[in-house]
Amino acid sequence: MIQRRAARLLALVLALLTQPALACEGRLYEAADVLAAPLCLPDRIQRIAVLDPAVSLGMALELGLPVVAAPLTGMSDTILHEAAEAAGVQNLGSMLDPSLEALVAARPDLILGAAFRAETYLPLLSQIAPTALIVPTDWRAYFHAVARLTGTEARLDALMAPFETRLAEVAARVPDTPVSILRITSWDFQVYLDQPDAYAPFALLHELGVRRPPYETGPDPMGMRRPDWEDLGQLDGEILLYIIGGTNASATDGRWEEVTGNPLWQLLPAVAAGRVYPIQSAVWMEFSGIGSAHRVLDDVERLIIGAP
Amino acid sequence: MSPPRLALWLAGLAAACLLLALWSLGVGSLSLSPARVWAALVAETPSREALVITTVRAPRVMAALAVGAALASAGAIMQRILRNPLAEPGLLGINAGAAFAMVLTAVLTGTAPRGTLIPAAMAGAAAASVLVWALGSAGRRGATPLRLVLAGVIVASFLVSLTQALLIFNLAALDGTRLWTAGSLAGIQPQELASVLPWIAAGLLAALAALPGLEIMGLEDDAARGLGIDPARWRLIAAAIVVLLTGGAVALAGPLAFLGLIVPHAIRLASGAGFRALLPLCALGGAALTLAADTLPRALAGTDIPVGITLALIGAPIFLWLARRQGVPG
Repeated sequence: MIQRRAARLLALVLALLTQPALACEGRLYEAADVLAAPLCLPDRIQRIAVLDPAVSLGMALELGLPVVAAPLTGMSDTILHEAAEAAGVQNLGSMLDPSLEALVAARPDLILGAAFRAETYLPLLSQIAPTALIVPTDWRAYFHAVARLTGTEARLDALMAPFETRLAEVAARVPDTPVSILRITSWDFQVYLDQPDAYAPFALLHELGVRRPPYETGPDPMGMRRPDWEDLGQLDGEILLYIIGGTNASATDGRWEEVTGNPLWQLLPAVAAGRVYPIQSAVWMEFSGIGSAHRVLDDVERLIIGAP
Repeated sequence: MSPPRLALWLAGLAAACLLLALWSLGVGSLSLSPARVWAALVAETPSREALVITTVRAPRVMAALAVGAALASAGAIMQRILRNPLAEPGLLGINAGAAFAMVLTAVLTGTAPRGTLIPAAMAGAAAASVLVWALGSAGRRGATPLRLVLAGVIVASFLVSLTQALLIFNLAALDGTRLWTAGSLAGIQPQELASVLPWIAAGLLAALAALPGLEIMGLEDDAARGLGIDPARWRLIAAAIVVLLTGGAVALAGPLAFLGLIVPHAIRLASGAGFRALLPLCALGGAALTLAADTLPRALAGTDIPVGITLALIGAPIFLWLARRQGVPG
């Protein structure tokens, strides 16, 4: 008797748990690359809100998706910002603190974002619209998840194929010259390490076979080092690329002058040899898809392969 | 305190500063023995090691010594003038005033604080002192120790909130000040040190020159007048010295707490010195403590922790222990 009751209770619980999936009147998305799968998505997605002005916004626009809202405040990628404005994307404020009211007012039928950024807000966001928080951090896997979620895989393939061809072609020309890359913020120095699971632009450099000095080479679980002034000497590549400004004020608040005027900076081999070049934060710190990937290759061709 | 005993104490603390400085010059990502430090400094061709020592480590060592000496002396002077054992720049809101004025100026002008905003730090420190004094001495009973501390805590909380509000609405200023607001000496540039050091030096020299008057100001006003001292005028002199010392220290290292409170008490309890001997001892003791607190985390754990945090971690237990053991006067 008790066993039969327990079995009935179990059946009821299972029925309740699986109810949303069974009740989905749109399209059921069951791949494990989003949090809380399966997701019930509309048959035809018409209004997408994205939670970051980098990968989610850029990739969605590149796939021709109907993005209606995104946090656009504080981004320094003018190309992507203009594309978003041209597409009529409504501003949700800063990525770190997007306006929930504006998000609700945008009436999205899908919310798209990165799991590592927005996981804690999933219960709240799910009440506004079906929310796909994408788990993989590798940029290609992320792009594939966006395409699979929205049924735009063919468009993605069309974008990726010529890029992969160009990547292979550029990789074949990369010289065996050690290259140092430094981000100068208003408050510290940052070195994104050379390792396969690095942040997208640096993962691309790894794929291209761009050689970095030992200090800049992983593996490291953080994928990043914060050298102090003393450690700076270990950035002894023959070419030095540096990122300044962008999402922080280091280009305008006197930090740039402080760093480039310092004798320890001037002692770096690349600086002494005049092979030091600024690269854009918009490309290297706000990576947003195939456009950014091509711009990384542009920089590699211009500054590493074709370095004067 | 007898002259030989004072000389012994001064020599001991100066030696401690010197040894700590030598040790600190060797601590960093590349650990250097004192012999290698010396060799790098006297080598004919300047090496990267020498450059690291002269442009990274030495400015930081000197900044730690200067800031420690300034804040500990400011605390000793304030405790004497206000006849208040709890007086110090942090508790009385002067640090917060200097910090708020610097952040406000940074927000308005778009420059990064530290070294470049000394006039703002001085003005903020002075305005906060006046405000705390006015609040604490309002009413018939005048400025009792408790009322002054309460006024200081209120003003400090208010100014810290305003500073936070400014930083929340201005991300660029927040980026530029994130370490400095915690009280940090990391990355001090020689030119920053050079622009602040004269102010602190002037404050310390003025304090030493004003020692006799400051000592008399520890007495009741009537007694001071009887000894030919005008209390109102000397309170102004003392305030100007404290503003020089505190404004300079905050401009360099951010609002460091505890230093002005614990060092004078610790030195007084340990040495039994009277005020005249106490002030120079405090300057040296504060310098040594700050340098030790700044260097220890890097030497022991290889991590750079803002000195404000280390000082609070070291300072709070030391102060509690002293208070329990001896009883803080007042």
